[in-house]
Amino acid sequence: MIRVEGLTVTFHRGTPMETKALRGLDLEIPTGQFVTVIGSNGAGKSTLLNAVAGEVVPQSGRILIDSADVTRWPAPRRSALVARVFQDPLAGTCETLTIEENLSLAAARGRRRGLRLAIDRRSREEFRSRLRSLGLGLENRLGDKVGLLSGGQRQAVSLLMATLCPSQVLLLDEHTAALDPKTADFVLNLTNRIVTEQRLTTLMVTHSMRQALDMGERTVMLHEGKVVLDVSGEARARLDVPDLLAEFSRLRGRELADDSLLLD
Amino acid sequence: MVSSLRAIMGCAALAFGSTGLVVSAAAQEKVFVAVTAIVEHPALDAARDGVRDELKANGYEPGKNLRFEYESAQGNPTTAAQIARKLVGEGPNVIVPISTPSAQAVVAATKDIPVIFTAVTDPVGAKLVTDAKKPGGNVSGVSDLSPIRKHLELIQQITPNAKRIGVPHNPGEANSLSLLKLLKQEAGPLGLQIVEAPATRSSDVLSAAQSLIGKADAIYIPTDNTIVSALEAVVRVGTENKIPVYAADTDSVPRGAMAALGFNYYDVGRQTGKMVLRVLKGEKPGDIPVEGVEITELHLNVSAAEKMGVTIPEAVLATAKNVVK
Amino acid sequence: MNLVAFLGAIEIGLVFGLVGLGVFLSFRVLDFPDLTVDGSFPLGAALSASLIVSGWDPYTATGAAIIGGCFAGLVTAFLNIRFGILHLLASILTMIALYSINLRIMGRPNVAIISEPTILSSFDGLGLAMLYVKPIVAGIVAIAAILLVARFLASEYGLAMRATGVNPRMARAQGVDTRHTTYLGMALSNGLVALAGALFAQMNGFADVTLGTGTIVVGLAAVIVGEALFGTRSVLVWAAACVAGSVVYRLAVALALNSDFLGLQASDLNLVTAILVTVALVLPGARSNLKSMFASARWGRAPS
Repeated sequence: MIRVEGLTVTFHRGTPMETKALRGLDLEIPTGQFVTVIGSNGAGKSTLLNAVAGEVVPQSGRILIDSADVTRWPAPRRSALVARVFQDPLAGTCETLTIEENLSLAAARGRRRGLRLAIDRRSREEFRSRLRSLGLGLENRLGDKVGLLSGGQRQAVSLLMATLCPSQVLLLDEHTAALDPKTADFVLNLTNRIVTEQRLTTLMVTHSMRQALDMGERTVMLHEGKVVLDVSGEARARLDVPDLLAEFSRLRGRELADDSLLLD
Repeated sequence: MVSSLRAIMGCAALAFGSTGLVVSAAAQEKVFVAVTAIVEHPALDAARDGVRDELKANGYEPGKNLRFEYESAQGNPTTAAQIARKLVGEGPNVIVPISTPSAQAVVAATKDIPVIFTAVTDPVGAKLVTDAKKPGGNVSGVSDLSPIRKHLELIQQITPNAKRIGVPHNPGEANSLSLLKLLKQEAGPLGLQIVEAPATRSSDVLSAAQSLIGKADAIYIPTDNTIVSALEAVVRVGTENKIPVYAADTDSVPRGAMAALGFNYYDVGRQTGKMVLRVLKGEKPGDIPVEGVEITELHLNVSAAEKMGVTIPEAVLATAKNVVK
Repeated sequence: MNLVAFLGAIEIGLVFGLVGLGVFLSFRVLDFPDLTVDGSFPLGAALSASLIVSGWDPYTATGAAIIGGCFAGLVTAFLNIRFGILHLLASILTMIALYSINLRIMGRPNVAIISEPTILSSFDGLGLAMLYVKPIVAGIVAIAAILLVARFLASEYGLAMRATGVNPRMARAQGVDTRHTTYLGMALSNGLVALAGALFAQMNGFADVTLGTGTIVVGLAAVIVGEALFGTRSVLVWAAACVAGSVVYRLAVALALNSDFLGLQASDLNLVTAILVTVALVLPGARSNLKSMFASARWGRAPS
């Protein structure tokens, strides 16, 4: 379960570039729920994810994962509870390390790393079987540097890395945005499969209205650092892309009315 | 790994390939004197030339019956160590290391080949020899320790009212620190006081000299490479503030220092050359006591003295070997 | 080149191979451009020489030198991590501070240990000439260091350290405390360099405050030449390449010192260094390494 209470994040505070990314955001996600997050540029989607992951420290508000208040936990400590896939396929893996080394890094998430060999025969076997489940033939390329993989392959490996060891929360940050449509579909299917299999509490940011409605069981729309739409169940099932678009233009119209979006 | 091995073998082959070249050149009946210095420097180069000329004056003609080899470590002690190995491996009759680090590197590399060092200020402190009077072993040489007491007496003779002597120096130079210690030892009995002005780089020399304004009645520049390389900065401070500037080396006098009772490194080189000749004639370095500088000479710069507000007494002028107008 | 010069080049090359390993850890593994080595090399020399002169056992003195080097690395890492001072600047600050500290440690700019017991004295009784003992000892130490570094980098913690250098954000997301790995990596790196300094002082009979001049250039040359000649296939090969690169570099210097060869002389040394490194860089196999170096060695990158 994730509970976000009154979260406020301001960048460049006290400078002319001051930006209020989150303005008292509240959100509660029960265990095992898959939530999609949409919103226009600057709505605060990525900031929300970064705050949950611990990369951004909020000025006020609290973040609870299960019953633990993790607001002040640094990112590495939080990684025991939070797994993450980045938008940029380059960001989630180490390109000069091999596939098995990347997997080994992820396999040690949340526990103390010692001087034991990072990769032994047993872990290698496990990585092989996990990779086989991707169906990309990567199980035969354990020793290849990740830099040799395509963007889709890297995102698939990232996803595998994020789910290699148990975590409370999975954060997906537009993780298919940089992929071509076919690869994006593949990665989305993989996402669905893994999330369902492992019953992960998932927060997925997406730029695609279609994905937002098709994936998961609840959709949240952010605007100016707040939740402006929160639908699930019946209400969500009735929604379609045009409805979301209409909602977007309604918000934008309001902005235009108070002159805040003229520069967009 | 095969290609890696091949690369190593290639290097080794290249290395040994040149061995043949050296051996063939050294095979002739020649006296072989190898000289090495830590860095190219006018004084150190002069010492080298002195050694060479002394050998020449005694019938050893470079290129004919003398193989005279010179290497500079370009200021890098690691290179000095490598040069030492190279020279030792070539088996010369005598190795002449110039300056402390070069001498230490050579002495660490051989216990057999005669070593005659020069331009080393404190050979005992540098552990080149255990006893300057009876060195023993394969090492002796010429120390370039300044005749400090004579220097201080010269200051008293020309400027009797100067009681506080400012000494710009680089605390990172071994020689400078031993000089400073000696200066302090000698100053007390003469009723003088030493004021330190440290500068670790040439660019710091000006501010070091400026720090002496109002604190020193005269400035004395020891044989310190860093300070000497930025001598003009000290001279400027002396001229602008009427502080007489004395130097330990005579080369500084034409550059604007008022007076120096010095020696030149060429003479030190000649003196070292004499010692090398003794070794070539069969004496063991261990039996030759370490020598200090023998020839001193007074150099004066009258116009510099005027600018610094000093009139040099006629009696002193008369003893000068060289007077710059 | 004669045998003494050849063995001397091997010995000094192996000793500076430890500098190469240290530079490999900072520049390559951690992607932390670190100039501290210009201070930690003479620090190792100064500490070991001064302690030996004051009667310490040479091995303990060498150990103390390593610890001193580790501490220097920690200071640079601290300046960078705690105060956000740029890598390069933080390391320069430590480097210049070490100049004064080294002078303090020695009490004077040069400490001679020609006649003192050193770790080489343990081999006196074996009947082997010093000429061979020195490169053998240097070789043993260098091989041990290569194996330890390679084994360390293959460990879970070592892998975390490598990830820190390649992609710190990802490393943190995987639970790696990148500050921790940076501290430890910098300590190890400068500890190795100080060990090299301690060995150099004991093998050449003196420690001098100017000993550090250009250490970083030599270390980088070792890494680049090694990578170009021997590749970076695995961590073990890569680490060994850094030491081998240093030996090749020293052999080239020995060649340059040989005025009978190709008309080169001592004053051409720096030119030879520059040419050697350039050749290493443009060798076909080095291209990709070169590219990745410039892609990843962002000297001006904001502190992480």
